[in-house]
This record gives sequence, structure tokens and C-alpha cells, in this order.
Amino acid sequence: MNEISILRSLLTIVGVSVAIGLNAVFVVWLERKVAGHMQYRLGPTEVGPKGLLQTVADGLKLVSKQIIFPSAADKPIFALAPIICLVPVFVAILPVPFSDTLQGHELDIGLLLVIALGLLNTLGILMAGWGSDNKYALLGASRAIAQICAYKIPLLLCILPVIMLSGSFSLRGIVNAQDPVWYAVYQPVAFFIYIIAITMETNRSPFDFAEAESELVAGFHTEYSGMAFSLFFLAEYSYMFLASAIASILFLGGWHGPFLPGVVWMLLKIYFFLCLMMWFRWTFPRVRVDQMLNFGWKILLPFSLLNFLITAGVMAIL
Amino acid sequence: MSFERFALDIYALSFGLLLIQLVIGAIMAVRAHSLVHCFLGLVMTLVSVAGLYYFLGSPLLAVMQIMIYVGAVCVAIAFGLSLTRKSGEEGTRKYGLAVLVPPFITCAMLGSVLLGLSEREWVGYPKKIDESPIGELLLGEYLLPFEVISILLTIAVIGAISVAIIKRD
Repeated sequence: MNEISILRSLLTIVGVSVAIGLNAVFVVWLERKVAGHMQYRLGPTEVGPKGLLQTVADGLKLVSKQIIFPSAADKPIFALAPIICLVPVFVAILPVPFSDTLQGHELDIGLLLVIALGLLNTLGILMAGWGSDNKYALLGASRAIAQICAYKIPLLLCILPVIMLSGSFSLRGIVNAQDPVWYAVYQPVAFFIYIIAITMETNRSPFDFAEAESELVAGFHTEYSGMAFSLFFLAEYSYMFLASAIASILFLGGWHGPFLPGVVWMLLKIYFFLCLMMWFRWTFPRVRVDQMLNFGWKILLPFSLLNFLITAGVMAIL
Repeated sequence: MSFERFALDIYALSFGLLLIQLVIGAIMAVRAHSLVHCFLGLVMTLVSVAGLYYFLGSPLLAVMQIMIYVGAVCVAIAFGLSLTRKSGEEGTRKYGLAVLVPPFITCAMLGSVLLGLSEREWVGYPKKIDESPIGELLLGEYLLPFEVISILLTIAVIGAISVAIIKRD
């Protein structure tokens, strides 16, 4: 414990906060642009060059708005829910290596930490749904909990073969283990199921039952306004960023790539996944809840289990 | 004030806050009137216990605590809660003399633990241990108990499924 390590911790906190904030500003703009062009319109154009500052303007508007507490709301739970949603991302992003030299904190159990903290998001959604005292919010929250049971087991079963192949829980170790060949080549089934599972994990369409604006008004955040509402959005886009970063580390070789520096490759891969999820959102219609649960339990789970068993068998033979 | 002193103060302060959070969570889990408040108190306690494991020098155990207890057990409880019709606001019942039993048991257990530890050497800060032998021991020396536990879990899953199928008819 010396001055350099304290300075480093402070720099890490500032860096993570800036990265999460800037990412949200950029991704919201990107999402609106992508949606616009997919629907044969322009998206935001007025504020700033190409409408880049539109999100900043929206953010300022949201900050200046009042946070309304419903009279029958469970006030402490209602107020804590957006914070519980957002805070785990700040910790979970620490062990993520963005390049050979750029990493918040190297942990030998980094992947486990990310998985464990990813589960806390649902807790925040449950608190929001319960605390709002609104039937749509409660329905959204109970859907989110049913959903987490359906996707989390296939998700973990897709990560296990990667851990077995690399022999490491450290994200840096996993990246270094796939130096010549990416695990997406060895594990195409796991890669495919993982992409579906993170779309479910981040509550993105076609699996966005927790908000489902055509059925539940706005789902678990129906009663939220102003900055509390935007914290939920910040959390959603930060989880997307985190899940994409983990996906590129597990399957696409992290920062490895020719010619360009490591950070650029890492960011390119992250935004590739983000664009993929946006493409899903504006292409597929929302599936029904029972369809999603059946899909999770009866298709994703057996296939990921089979993939895991085959990987283990091949590894035992070789 | 040196940086080292400052860092140690922060360390001690966060440990104290964690303990307060643990006790508040535990009281909430037992005493709250609404079922959801009890549940959230339980979550708070389990997260705080994970923090204690971290302070005791075992980040692996802390992460596992969050993953298994908060991630799996609490989500399962929340799943159960979201399926129940009533919010469970029955209020706390009056107990009489039985109220004295838990404090007595707690004091007895705490006393026996402290008595057992009094022979040991006291250290200010825990040493971080190498956790990789845990996996090797589980899949080597303790392979049989490990597999027996997994059979037990499989039996539990099959039992749950059969109960659900019987109820459906």
C-alpha cells in the first residue's frame, strides 16, 4: 500500500466512470441512428454534428426533471433500486482487460466476479418492481426473475468450455490462451448460445419482457422519472458494454489483432457486439414470455449441456 | 498524515460499515413486517457476509458467496415470492418466553467459538492464501464426498420435478 497504488485506484475509479458515461452517451446516439437508418429515416440530426450531442441534451433534460415518488411506493426500496442496478457494473468492469497494459485490476478470479455481479442486476429490477406499487412494474419484475432462471444456466454452461480450454478464471489468462486461434472457432455452438443469452441478460429485444412497452407501459421502470429513470438506462447500456466486452474476451481473442493497437481492437469487437444487439432489436419482434421460457429451458439448456459434454469428452480423449 | 495511514483508516472504516450493514440486514430479515423486506434484509446480510470473506483474505469465497447465495438462492426465493398471491403482511406474532431462546443459543455459540479461538494467536490483518489447492483437493482426495453431494443434488432436482408433475394432474 503506497502512494502509487492509491493514485492508481483513484485513476481507475475516474477512468471507469468516464468510460461508462461516455459509452452510454455514444451508444444511445448509435442506437437511435441505427434504428433510424434501418427504418429508412435519419435519426437525430439537429444537436451537434450528425446529432452527436442529442444524448447530452436529453441527459440534461432528465437531470433537470423532478423525481416523482408514487404516494403508495415503498420509498427506501424505490429510491435504492436504480443504484443497486448500476453500482455492480462499476465493480464488474474492474477486471476487464482492454489491452495488454490497460486494465483496472488483475484478478485471478475475474470471470467469476463478473458472473456473480451480473446477477445483482435482477435484484435491482425486483426492487424497482416491488417498490413502485404498480401492477405493471411488479409484472415486469416477476418476468425478469423468470427470465434469469431461463438464461443463466445455459450462459454458464457456455462459459465452462472456455474455462476448460484455457484453464484459467482470469480474463487476461483467457485472452492469452487464444493467441493463434479464437475460441469462437473451437466453440461455435457456445458462442452462438452466449450471444442469445447476453441478449436475454441485458433485457434487449426480442427478450425485453421486463419493460415490454406494448404490454406493460414501461415494465419495471414505469413509475420512475428524471434521473432515476436515466440511471436504469445507464445501467442497461453499461451492462451491454460489459457483456460485449466479456463476449469479445471469451470468444474473439480480446485485444489481439493485427496492425492496430490492442485497445482499438478491443473497442471494435465490443461495438461489433453492441451493433449486433441493436440489429436484433430492430429486426425481430418480441417473443411471448412462455415462448422465451420454453426456448431457454428446452432448447438452449440441452444444447449448451451437450456442447459442454462433447468438449469435455474430446478434451479427455486428446 | 501519510498515505499508508490514510489507506488503513479507509480499510478499517469500510470494515466497520460492513459490520453495521450485516447487523441491520440480519435484524431486517427477522423483524420486518413485509415478506419482501425480510427477503431484502436476507440479501443484505448475505452480501455483507461476502464482504467479510473478502476482508478475511479469501476473494474466491466472497465471489462464490455472492454467486451461490445472492445469485442462485435469493433469485430462487424471489421467484417463489413473485408466484405467491399475498404479499405476506401478517405482522409479527407475540412469542412470550420463547423470545429468550435465540439470544441464549447465540450467546452460547459465540462463547464457545471465542473460547476455542482464545488459544490461537491474534493477527491484525489476514494473509491471503493460495486458493488453487481447493480445486485439486476436491477432485483428488475428496472426490467421493464431492460426487456424493452431486448425486444428492440430482436426487433433489428429480424429486422437485416429480412433485411438480404430480401436482399438475
